[in-house]
Amino acid sequence: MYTCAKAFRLQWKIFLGTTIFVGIFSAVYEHYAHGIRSKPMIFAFLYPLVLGLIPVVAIAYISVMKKIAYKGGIRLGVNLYYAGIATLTFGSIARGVVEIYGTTNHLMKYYTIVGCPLLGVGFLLIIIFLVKAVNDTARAEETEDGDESDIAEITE
Amino acid sequence: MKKPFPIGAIIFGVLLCAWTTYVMLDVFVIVRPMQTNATEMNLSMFASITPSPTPIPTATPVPVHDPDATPTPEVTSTPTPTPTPSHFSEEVIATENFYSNDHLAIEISEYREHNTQIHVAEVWVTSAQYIYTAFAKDTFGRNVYETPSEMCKTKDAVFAVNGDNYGSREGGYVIRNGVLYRSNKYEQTSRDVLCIMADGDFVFTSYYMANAENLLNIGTWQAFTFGPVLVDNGEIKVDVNSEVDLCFVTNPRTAIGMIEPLHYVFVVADGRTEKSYGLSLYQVADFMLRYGCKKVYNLDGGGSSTMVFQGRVINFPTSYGSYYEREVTDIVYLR
Repeated sequence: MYTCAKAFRLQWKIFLGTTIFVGIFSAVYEHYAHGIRSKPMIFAFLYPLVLGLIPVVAIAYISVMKKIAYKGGIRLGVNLYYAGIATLTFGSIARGVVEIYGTTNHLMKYYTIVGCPLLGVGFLLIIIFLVKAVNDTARAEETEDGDESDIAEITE
Repeated sequence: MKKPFPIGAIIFGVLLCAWTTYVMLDVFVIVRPMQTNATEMNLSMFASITPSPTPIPTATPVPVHDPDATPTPEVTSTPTPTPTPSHFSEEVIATENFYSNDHLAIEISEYREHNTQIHVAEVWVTSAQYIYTAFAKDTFGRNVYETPSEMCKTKDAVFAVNGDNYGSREGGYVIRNGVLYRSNKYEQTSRDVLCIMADGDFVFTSYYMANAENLLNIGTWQAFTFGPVLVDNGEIKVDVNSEVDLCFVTNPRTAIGMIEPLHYVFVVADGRTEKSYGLSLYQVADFMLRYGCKKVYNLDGGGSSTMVFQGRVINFPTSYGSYYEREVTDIVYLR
């Protein structure tokens, strides 16, 4: 079974790489920006770090994740959530490029318009299906324990 | 069970990259002309202006900057405007550093401060209507570009500097030659607006204080949206700390200043090279204040900073680390 633990342990490494890459990209871009400072460019790395790396690391090593399959609603939620992070990160970098050039563009708002709902819906799906899966797992374990004790009583 | 193939992530990634490419093309490349043949001049606002006594400049020989020459020695004295004006000329007088006709006089000089070559054009006009502006390819729109020297040829201009680069933004007031082209506000609300009024005065305003239609109605001949205001009523309005958000390092600069109505100073500072570092906004403000300007406004700088005099680019525009006359969306010119 491809478990959530396996998936999240791979994904946090991807987020670590993404955070480092975005951070280096922003630093290099700012270095050649003739001193013009853009907060969206400077802080773009925070999206994969705060929304991706930290929460994924936090849940990847919870023992119950080894018992939950990475599929269905959880996988859909995670994909939507990550799509939201990617959209917001791209948007932040794009906004930085445009700001450093000294302009604006009406299309920038679509990164937020698309990214935030993806993030929100994905997060909700993860919570709903993960909680359900944890409960199901706990119930299954209780049932197994109950069956074992019934068998033990019968045997006696 | 095997790890699932991330087909959805790949498709989404491709779409996101495609969208971002389109956004970048829209920002930098895709030409969006909104009005072609935008050459109209609304001179009606000058009908009510009483001609003021003519300020009279004098031609003074000044050194000309030679690209191969050693940089001019650092100037420590305070730059000063030409002290004793004498006259505009009925006939055209054109020397290497001076030009005059019956309504216009321009004197070009150079200074060196802060390891930077500063090109100064002191200008006298008999009326503000001789401070013209032009759009690249005579087209009002986004991402329409042309070099200042090409625009000078088209307009038969004697002198020009780059404008406010209105065409790379979607917002910001644009009033040119008495015609309102754009009245929507710029998203960065800190932008100051410079209005050159029909009486020759400079008026600084912002979106909070005035809308574009009102500015036109009260006699705004030209309005620029870039900034910030560097000097107002003889006081420097920027300092080293306050300019951090905009740009705290030295750069090529273009600024326009007013000593008094109908007596102006255009400054272009070269930058981003070993020979000429460039100026901070504060240094530009300080230089122009010492030159005698009561009001100074910062125009588009960086690679756009260009000064053209009698068909020749007299500064050293730099883009991508080399000398290169960058195409711009608009110029301020005299003829």
